[in-house]
Amino acid sequence: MNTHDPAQGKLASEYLKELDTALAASPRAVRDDIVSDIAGELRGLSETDARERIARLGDPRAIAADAVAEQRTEADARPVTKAYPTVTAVVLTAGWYLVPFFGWVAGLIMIGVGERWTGSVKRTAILASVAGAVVSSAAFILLRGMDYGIVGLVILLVVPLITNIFVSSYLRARWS
Amino acid sequence: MTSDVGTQLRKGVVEYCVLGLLQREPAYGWKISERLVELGLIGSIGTLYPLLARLRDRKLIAAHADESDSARPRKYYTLTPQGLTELSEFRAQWRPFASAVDGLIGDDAPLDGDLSRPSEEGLTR
Repeated sequence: MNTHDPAQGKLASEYLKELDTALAASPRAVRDDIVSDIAGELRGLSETDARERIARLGDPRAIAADAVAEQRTEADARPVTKAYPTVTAVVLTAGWYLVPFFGWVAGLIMIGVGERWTGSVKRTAILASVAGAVVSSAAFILLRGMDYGIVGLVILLVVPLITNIFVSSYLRARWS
Repeated sequence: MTSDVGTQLRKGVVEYCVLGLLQREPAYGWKISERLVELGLIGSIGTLYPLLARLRDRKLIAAHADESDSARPRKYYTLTPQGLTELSEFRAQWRPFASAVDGLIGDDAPLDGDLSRPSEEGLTR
């Protein structure tokens, strides 16, 4: 959010900037509401009045921490269903066969945007799935045209299936 | 530990305190926050906005801009009919609940007497 406002004094501008930065982890709508409402209250005040109001508001980092804690309360209160990881598993696994390449990529994107997986879980899952795809594709290409080229085709069909079943199970267990 | 108890207690009721405040009159975020901080119900204005967003998502309150003060255009929050219904339901549960808890742990609670005395009716609703 642009916190620069010519009607704000130096103190208020600095405070709003700090607040906006501290609220970086909050959803955009909440962040904008807090900063714009406080900016409205501070607008046009003398430095003394602004100082007094800012003192009443408190440290921007404490405000941001309270906002994050309240959002966590909300997330904790929501019932956790396995619908999303299940759909992701289906898209990732079946996508490889039903919509070659693009279906599987859609599954990878769903892993990337899943809000209840941590960054490391997402990375591990995506790397494992990509590794399965690369190994099976490489085997298929290397063995193509040889006498036992059928083995390459089997690897291309089976390895991603097994890999993605394991990845799906890993992801479902970590959806919380 | 004590602050944990306070936090747990506040979690369940602050939303209804906001609805109660808005039943009296529409208010803007800063005003609501000042009142709740003053009463010790929230730590800072940071707690209020996610809570207001949640109440709006549930259509218990509505927001509208008031630009009558051009120097400070504000977003006012009002209680919706759905919010009023929710508040009334909470109120009906809260009084017997508070009375029952007070009957058990209040200063005047009997130490060795009849534990079934405080508002059983209210707790089983």
